[in-house]
Amino acid sequence: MHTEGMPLHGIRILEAGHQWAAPIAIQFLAGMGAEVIKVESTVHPDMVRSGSYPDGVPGEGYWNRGGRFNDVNRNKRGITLDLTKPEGCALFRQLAAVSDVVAENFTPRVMANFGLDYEALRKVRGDLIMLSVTGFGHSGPWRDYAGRGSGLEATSSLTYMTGYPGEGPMKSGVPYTDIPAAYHAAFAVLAALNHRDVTGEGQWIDLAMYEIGASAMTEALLDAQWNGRVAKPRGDRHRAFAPQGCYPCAGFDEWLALSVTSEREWRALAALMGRPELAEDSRFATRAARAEHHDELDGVIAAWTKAQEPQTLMERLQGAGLSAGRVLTSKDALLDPHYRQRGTFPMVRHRPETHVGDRAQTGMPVRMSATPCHLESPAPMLGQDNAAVLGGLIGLTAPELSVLTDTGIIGDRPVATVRGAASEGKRPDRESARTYDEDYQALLGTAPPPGGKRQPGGHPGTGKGGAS
Amino acid sequence: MTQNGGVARGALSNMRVLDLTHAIAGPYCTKLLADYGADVVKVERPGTGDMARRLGPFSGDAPDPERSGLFLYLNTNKRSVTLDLKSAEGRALALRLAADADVVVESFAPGVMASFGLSYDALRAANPAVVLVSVSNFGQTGPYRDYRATELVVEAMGGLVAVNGAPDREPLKLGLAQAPYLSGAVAAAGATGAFFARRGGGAGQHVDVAISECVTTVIRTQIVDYSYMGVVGWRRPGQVLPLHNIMPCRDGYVVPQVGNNRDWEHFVAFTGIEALQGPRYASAEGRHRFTREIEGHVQMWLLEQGKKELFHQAQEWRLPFGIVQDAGDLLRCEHLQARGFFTTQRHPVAGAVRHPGPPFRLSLTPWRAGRAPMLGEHTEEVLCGRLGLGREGVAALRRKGIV
Repeated sequence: MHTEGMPLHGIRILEAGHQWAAPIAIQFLAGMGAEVIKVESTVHPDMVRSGSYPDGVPGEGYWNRGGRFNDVNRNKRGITLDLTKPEGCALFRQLAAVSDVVAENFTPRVMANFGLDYEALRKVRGDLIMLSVTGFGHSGPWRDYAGRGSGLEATSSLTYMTGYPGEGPMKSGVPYTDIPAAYHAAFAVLAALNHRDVTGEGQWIDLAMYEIGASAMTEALLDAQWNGRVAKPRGDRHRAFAPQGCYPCAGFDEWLALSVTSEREWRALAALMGRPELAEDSRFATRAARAEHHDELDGVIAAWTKAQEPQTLMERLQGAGLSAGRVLTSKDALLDPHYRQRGTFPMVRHRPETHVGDRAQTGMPVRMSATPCHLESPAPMLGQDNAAVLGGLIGLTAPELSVLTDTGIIGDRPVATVRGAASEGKRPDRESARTYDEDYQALLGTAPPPGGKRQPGGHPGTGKGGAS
Repeated sequence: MTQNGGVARGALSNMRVLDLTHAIAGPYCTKLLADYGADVVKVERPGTGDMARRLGPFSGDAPDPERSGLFLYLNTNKRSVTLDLKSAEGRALALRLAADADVVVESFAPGVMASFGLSYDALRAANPAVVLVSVSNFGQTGPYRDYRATELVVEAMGGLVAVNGAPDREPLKLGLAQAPYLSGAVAAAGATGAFFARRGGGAGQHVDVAISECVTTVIRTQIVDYSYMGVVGWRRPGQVLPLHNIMPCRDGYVVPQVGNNRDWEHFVAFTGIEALQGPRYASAEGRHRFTREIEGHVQMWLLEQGKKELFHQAQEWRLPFGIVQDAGDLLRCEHLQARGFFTTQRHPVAGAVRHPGPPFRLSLTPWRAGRAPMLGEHTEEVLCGRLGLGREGVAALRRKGIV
C-alpha cells in the first residue's frame, strides 16, 4: 500500500479487534495511512466473517467472502495467532514491540489473562499507545459485564428514547453505539499519537461504549436532573419544529422526511401544497397550534405527498427552502447522484481467489484535500500475511513458520465453522427481504447487465411488493 | 505528574483552535478538542451568540442564553469572543485569529465562509499551515451541497431512518439527535489527523465532513447486504435472532440477547425454565426455527423478574444481557458513579451543572473538567492578548456592535 505523504504514514497498528467498534476505528486510521496488522486466530476468527456472502452463497472459503468483515477491515494486513497458547502470546509481544499502537475490544479479563494488557505490553515497548474498547470500561462494578449491540444500546438509554410516541421502547435496526464509539476511539488514538510526538510518552485508552452512548443523551439527562422530566420518545416529531415527520409517497414503501422550522417555511409549504389558506387557518397558524393539531396536519400533508414521486418532491421542497429529504434505503443511497458524485461508497476489488469481485462498501466519513484516502485494498483473507509479517517483521524462518502451522499457532483455515456461518449467512434472505434485485450488480455497475445490455429504464426491481 | 516529572497537560495542549461553529455537531467536535487539551477560541455572534444558547433544556424551564443545558455541555473549556462576521472589521479580526490558529472548525452552510472572505484559500493565504475543518449536512461538493436539513432529514438521507421502525408503519429516526454527536467525533478525528500530518513542518488542508455521509457508515451492514446480495431488508426492530427483541419484564424492558450455543446453555441454566431444556432448541437452527415458541416460554418467566436483578444475574453467567434504561437510570447508575463519569461544573450564571464527563480516559494525559463561557466573556482577553489590540480599541469595536 502506498501511504507516503498520508497523515499516519509510518505508524504501525496491531489490531486484536473483532466485530465492529475496534475494527471500524482502526479502519479509519488505516484510511489515514497507518499500516495495520489485524490479528485473528484459526480457533476464533472474527465472527463477522460470516454473513452477507456474494449472492448469498457462502461457497469455497466462505470465511474470506463475507461482506460484513470485508467492509470493516479494508486496508489491513491479516495474520492468525492462537493467543490461548504461550507461543502465540510471545509472538504477539514481539509484534507489539515493533508497533506504535495496539488496539483491542475484548472484555477486560481477556488480554490480562493472555498477559497482553497495557502494563505487560509497555514493558516490551515503552512508548506504546494501547486502545481498549469495551462495553462498560476497565473499572467500576460492571467492568466484567459484556455489552454489545442492541443490549448495550438499550442500557445506554437510546432504546428508551427511540420509538413511536405513546408506545414501548424500540431498538434501532443497526448496532448503533459501536459506530460513534469507533470514531471516538480513532480520535483518542490520534490525540495520543500527538502527545507521543510531542513528549515521547505512550499511554493507555479506556473507552466504554456505554459512556459514549450516554454522552449523546445530555439533553435528556439535564432535563431529568433540572426539571424532573423523564423524556419520552417523540417518534419522528421535534420538540420545537412542527410539522415534522415522514410522509408517504408514490411507489412501494417510499417516504419523504420533512421539517418545518419557521413560519416562512410553513407559508412556503402551504403555498406549494396549493393550500395557502392553511397558513392563516387558526389550527395551523402558529407553531404551537400546529404542534397541537399535528395528527390532523399530518393527514393534510400525507394526502398531498402520497401521489408524488419522492425524489422530485424533495427537489421541489428544497427549491422552496424547506428541509426535506427522501427516506433513502441502502440501495437508494448506493445509487444516489449526490453520493455517487462524492464517491461516498468506494468500489473495492477483492482478490481473485475469493471470487467476490468488485463490491461497493461504506467509505471514510472524512475527506481530506491534501491527503485523500485513495486506498481500496481489500480486507485480508484469514492468515493471508502470516509469512510476510512474521517473517518480514520479526524474522521467523520458513522452517519456524512450518512448525507454527503444524502446531496450530498459525493457519489460514478456521478450525471449526465460524460462529453463525450457517444461519446468519442467509439473512436477510430473499424471501423476507423488503425488495430484492436479481440484477443488483448491473445496477451498481460491478458486473455487466444480464444479456449484456441494460434494460431501458434501468430499475427492473423484482422484489415482492413491486419495483422499489 | 507525567513520566518525565512535569505537570500533566492535555494530549492536545499544543493545538490552537479557532471555533466558528454553532448548534451541536461542530461544537461537539471542538468540545472534544478542548476537553483533551486544545486552546479553543469560540467566535459567537454579538448579542445572541450560538443558537444552542436558545435551545434547552433550561433549569426550571426558564430560557436564558447563559443557562442552556445543551450549550453548557457542548462548550466546556472554550473561550468566547463575540465578533460580527457580517462586518468588514469583524472578518478582518477573524482572519487574524485564523492566521494564529492551527485548526479552524466551521459549521456554516457551504459557501457562507467564502461570503465572509474566509474561504479555505483565503485562510491558507494568511496561514499556509492552517487546517480547516468544515462540518455540514451534505458536504462541500455534490448536487445536494446547498440542501437544508434537520436531524430527521440527515438521518433519512443517510439511510438510517429507512431501517428503523416497524415494517407496516412510517420509518423512524433515532431518539434525540444522534447524528451530530457521531459527526462531531468524526470531525475531531479528522482535525487531529490533519493536525498530526503537519508534524515536521507539513502543510495544512481542508477537511470536509458531511453529517449525512457519517450516517451512511451506520447502515454498513445494509450497504453490503445490497452490494453483495441485492437485498434491501425490512426495517424490523426484532425477529432477527431469537431473544434479541425488547421484552417486557416485571418493572420494565430487557434485551436478553442470547447468541451462540454457549450463551444458550447458560441462559437455560440461569433461567431454569424447564420447557427450554432438551434438544429441540439446542442448535442455532432450532432456535431460529422456533423463535416464537421460545419467546413465549421466556416471556412468561420474565414478567415475574425485575430488570436490574436480571441484568446482574445474567451478566454473572456472562450473557451480554441488556436492560432498557432511561435518563434517570443513567443519572443514578452505580457504575457510572464509580467511574466518575458525571462531572459537576460551576457556572457564574447557571450555577452547578452536572453532565457527562470524559467519553474515554487517557491514562497519562488528563481530560479537563471546565465550564462553558458566558457570551463574549473572553473578548477583551483574546483580542488584546492574542491580537495585541488595546482596551480602547476593543471598546471602540464594542460601540460599533462588532464585538
